[in-house]
Amino acid sequence: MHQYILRRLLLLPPTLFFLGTILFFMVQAIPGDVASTLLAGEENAVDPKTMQKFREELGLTDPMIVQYGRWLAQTATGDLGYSYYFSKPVWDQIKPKIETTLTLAIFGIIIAVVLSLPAGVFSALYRGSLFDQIVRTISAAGMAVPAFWLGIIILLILSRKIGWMPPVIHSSIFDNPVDAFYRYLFPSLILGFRSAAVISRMVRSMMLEVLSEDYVRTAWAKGLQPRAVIVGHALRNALLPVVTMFGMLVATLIDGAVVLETVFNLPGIGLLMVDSVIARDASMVLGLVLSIGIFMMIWILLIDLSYKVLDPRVEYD
Amino acid sequence: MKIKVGSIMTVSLIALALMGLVGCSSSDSAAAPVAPAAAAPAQASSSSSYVPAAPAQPAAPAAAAAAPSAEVEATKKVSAKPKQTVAKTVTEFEGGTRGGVMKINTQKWFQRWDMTTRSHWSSTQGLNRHYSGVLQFSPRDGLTVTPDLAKSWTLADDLTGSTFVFNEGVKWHDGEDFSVDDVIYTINRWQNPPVGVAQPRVAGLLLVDSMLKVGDNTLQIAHTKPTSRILPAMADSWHIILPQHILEPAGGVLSTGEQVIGTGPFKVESFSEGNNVVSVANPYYFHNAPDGSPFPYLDGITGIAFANNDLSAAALVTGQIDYYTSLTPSKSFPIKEKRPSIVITRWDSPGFQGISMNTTKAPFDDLELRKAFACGLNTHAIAELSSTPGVVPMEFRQISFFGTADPNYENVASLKCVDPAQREANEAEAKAVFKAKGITEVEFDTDTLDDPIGTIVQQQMKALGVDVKIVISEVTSAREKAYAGDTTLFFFGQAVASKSPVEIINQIYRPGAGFELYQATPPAKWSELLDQLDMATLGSEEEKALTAQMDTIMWEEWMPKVPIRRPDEFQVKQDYVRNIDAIATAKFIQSRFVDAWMDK
Amino acid sequence: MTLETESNKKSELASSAWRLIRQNPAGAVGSIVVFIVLMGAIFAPFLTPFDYESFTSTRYTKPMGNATDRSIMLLGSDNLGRDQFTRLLYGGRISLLVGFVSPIIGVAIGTILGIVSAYYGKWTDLLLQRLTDSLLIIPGLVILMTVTASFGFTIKVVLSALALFSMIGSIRVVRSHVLGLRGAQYIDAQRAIGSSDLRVIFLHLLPNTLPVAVVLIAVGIAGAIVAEAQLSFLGLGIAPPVPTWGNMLNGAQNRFDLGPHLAIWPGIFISVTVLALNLVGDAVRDIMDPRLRGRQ
Repeated sequence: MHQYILRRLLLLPPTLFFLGTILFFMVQAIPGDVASTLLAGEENAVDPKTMQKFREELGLTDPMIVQYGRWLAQTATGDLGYSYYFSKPVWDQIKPKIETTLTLAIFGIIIAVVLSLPAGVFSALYRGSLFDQIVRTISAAGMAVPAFWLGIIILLILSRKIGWMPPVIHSSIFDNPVDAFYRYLFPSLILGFRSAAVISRMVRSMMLEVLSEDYVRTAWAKGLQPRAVIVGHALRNALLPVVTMFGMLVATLIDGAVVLETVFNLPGIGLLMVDSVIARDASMVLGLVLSIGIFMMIWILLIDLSYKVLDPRVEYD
Repeated sequence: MKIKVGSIMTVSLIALALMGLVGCSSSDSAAAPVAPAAAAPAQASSSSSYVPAAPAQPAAPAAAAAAPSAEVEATKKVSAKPKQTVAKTVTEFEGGTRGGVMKINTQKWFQRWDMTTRSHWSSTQGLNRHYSGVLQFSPRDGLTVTPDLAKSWTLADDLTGSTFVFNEGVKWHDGEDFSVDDVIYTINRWQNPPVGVAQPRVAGLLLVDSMLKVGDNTLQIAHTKPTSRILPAMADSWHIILPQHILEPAGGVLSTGEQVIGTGPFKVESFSEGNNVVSVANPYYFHNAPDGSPFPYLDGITGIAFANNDLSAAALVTGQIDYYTSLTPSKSFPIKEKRPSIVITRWDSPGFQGISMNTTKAPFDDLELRKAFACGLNTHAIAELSSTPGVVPMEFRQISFFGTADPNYENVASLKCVDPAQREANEAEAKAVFKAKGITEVEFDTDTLDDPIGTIVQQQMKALGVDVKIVISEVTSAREKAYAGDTTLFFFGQAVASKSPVEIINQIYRPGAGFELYQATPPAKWSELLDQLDMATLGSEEEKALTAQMDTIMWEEWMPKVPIRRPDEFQVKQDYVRNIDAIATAKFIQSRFVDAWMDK
Repeated sequence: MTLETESNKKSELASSAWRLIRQNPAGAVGSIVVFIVLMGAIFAPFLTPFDYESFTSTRYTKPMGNATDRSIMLLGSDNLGRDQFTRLLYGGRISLLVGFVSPIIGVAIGTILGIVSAYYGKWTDLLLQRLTDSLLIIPGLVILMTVTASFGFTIKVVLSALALFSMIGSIRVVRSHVLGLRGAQYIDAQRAIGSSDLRVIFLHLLPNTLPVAVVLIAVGIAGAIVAEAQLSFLGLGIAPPVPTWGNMLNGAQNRFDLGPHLAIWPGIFISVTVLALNLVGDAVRDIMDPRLRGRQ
């Protein structure tokens, strides 16, 4: 077990190295650089001489391989770099945004679990029933409707037809729980609904598989309470593969956050990502993607380890 | 301005004499000053010093020229004992309770806490209320230069230097004393920013050659050349004064909201990165209202950034924001239907949108083709199609070469190739030229994703037998490409912070100035007229005559750009917000809100 | 999956198709909808009297309103007076082209790389696995945004970006599938009789991997269409004036009050198409992957 964790952790640096290298060169392909964004990208433009001086000062005129070496050396020390676009270290810009995206994601997951578990379990138990049909239709639709479109439609109905909308001033869930609740409500509902659509399908099919297993049939035959059979035997085993899904589910949630933070004006990682990409802020994009990468790798490792807790039979080779 | 301006004759004579004396020609004016033209003769005629006088009238540009010289004399007498100058408030305060916390939309998040490093207006809207400049444009007319940190100023007779006398006892928000050293430090920093810091609006301040502190509160500035544009440069909304004691330890870079320490009417109370800045009134603000009561009237301002206009509109409908300086009519008018108490005010924007033709490469190195393209386009149809249906008059207007600031603007329809009666003839002629020259295909670059301009041009040119290929990229790469001379046709827009034709020219046509594309050199005669225009009085007959001549040269001999349209701006506010009126450049100037209040 | 002959497979497919209609009516309905949408896009010029880029009516005409020539505009007109239905049909061409072609290209390359990775093992495998690992942990939209911002907002770039994305995903799946096959005796037999690597890969491994690839493509199409829409919505996808469902929605954003139909209909087209594609994808998986058969 320890060896397994160690090995996984050892894989982290090479994976990040590959990711960083690919991204570094990809970002270099972005037309223009931070000099053009800061000096030409806005309403006014400056003369080419100032631009050239700016570039030289920042070392942007050095050969790409030199810049790469510099970036590598700096990143190796755990420094994500400095963003000239935001005039501050990359990590300082990312840090305050984490809470927003995390809150959105956690709310999303809670809503997803609350919706999907009962839906999946009951539609498996009453396979082919009206309930099953409805759940399946809704989940199919939930996966098909684009999140941003749903967001816009909800906002417009709220503000134009009902005359109410969530508070526009952003507040942390710790400082002003009521306002924050309303601010996060709709985006997390949309996120949760979409994830629930995916999870409930998985839960349903896993339940169906488990329900036909011998040990569950035996349990039924022994005359155990239905509740005991379902919760004690079937659900526990059916949920195992569902847990693995949570690894990639977070990636889906981040995707969703990118568009929903834009639609609902939530100052989180997603909005920052869009801003940095549009601003061509290479160091910010690199730093953000690497941070997301580290987070995802640790998250997936945790999910894999939680397997062990849920199912002692699993062995790590 | 009105007070100091002499008769047209005097102005012209002195202006010409001055030109002869100091040999000031536009060829050495490489920088792009942000200047109302009137400033030069104003200083010249009053021979030396500008001294702020009791409430300046909101200067209607046309009226300014007609001010009798007697009034100038009268003002000069007051000069020994200068009074506080505040441009006249439009709604005079009539009792009730001054105060309230106003929630304003500051457009997109400004991204950098140092507003001098951005040129987008979200930056002034978001941060300007915390600062003061050496001088400021009156928020009521967008043109009159009024005191700010400096209470009075003097220009040397030969315009090679200027002296500014600063208010005493001014304090920074953190309690430190303001001093002239802060001004020197800030201007030095503008000219020589730390590594990696850009100052896109530095142009006007490049006129400063050296600075000398005299006594405790006087600053003497030597100019790089004889100029009076130093005044508007000092009044530019971006040219705020920053605290040396904060910047120096931070290596000259502001990277957090805690470092937003100014001398302005509001100070930062709290902020949420990427969303809002909560400011409260600065109790020690150094300006007072004309009746002696302290500015600002409001208790606080909360500036909120919005990622999109749909949300802003919804926030206005639900009463969550009180004021937004610029919302499209397609959003504003439906809001009013939902919430009738909303007040929409329309204001002239001196903005300019046009198409640059690359005169340095084929096919538009050919003047005849440039003329054909310009005349072939139906700019009236473009303005109409870009406008929101049902908004009368249309939100987009046709323009001449100098935008709304052009004194000939009222006669736009009479300009060559704009006259609707000549449309068919113009199009037939353009079509013939394209055919004769064998032009069947041309590339059109634009940076506006959500704007139908490309499509409209494409459809119009299709009828003339030319296939337009549209290339849309986001702002940076589109402009980068245009500066490199790689585009053929480039659609550009330029927001201007003052209603002076000289400024439009500085930003769009003057060689070496900011928004000049393809280094298109104007004919010599045109440059000469530009020199004269620099000295002409704003709104004067002389100015009209000069721009009319320049217009003709543009059409006949130069034709570097096609003037397309300019948008009207729509200010939206709740009815209980008082004393925020529409002015020419509200986006840039009306962002300190010292005399606005809430009446609810 | 075992070694099959061509004819075997054909009959297998045919009977599967029949089973699909009988057992999986949802899949059948899905395929009909997808077929209709595809036909609409392909035969767009014959289905509408309008041109997708001409200004044919007053602006923001409501659905069922009249064009300048008095003909009826089914879904009204947009901010320039262009027929929305026509633009949706033509927009479907791009959206569907991107949606169908990018997973096909991506999965094709991914399948080959996956096979190579599994077959050769050693450093080839190691390199490819680190590569896919690195990119796989990054949320798709983030990668796509970076690619389009770097290389431009054109169909080619968006298509390649989406292809890259589905390639990364498929390498992993194909590799593990082939690793299962590699141990199979017939492969060892082939190697024993001295077959070249290419021969083993193209004649044996590839055909046996096809079903997996087909499932990957079927599932990928819907994802690609949504991804294109999201990118265009953020202004980082295919730029106008080429209509796509995504950039039509983007263009509708600030004009919702004047023409609500402009925001509603492209969304409906996307949703219905993606729903139908999901149903088809499920059905294809049922047929191709016997282990999952009967689960849904």
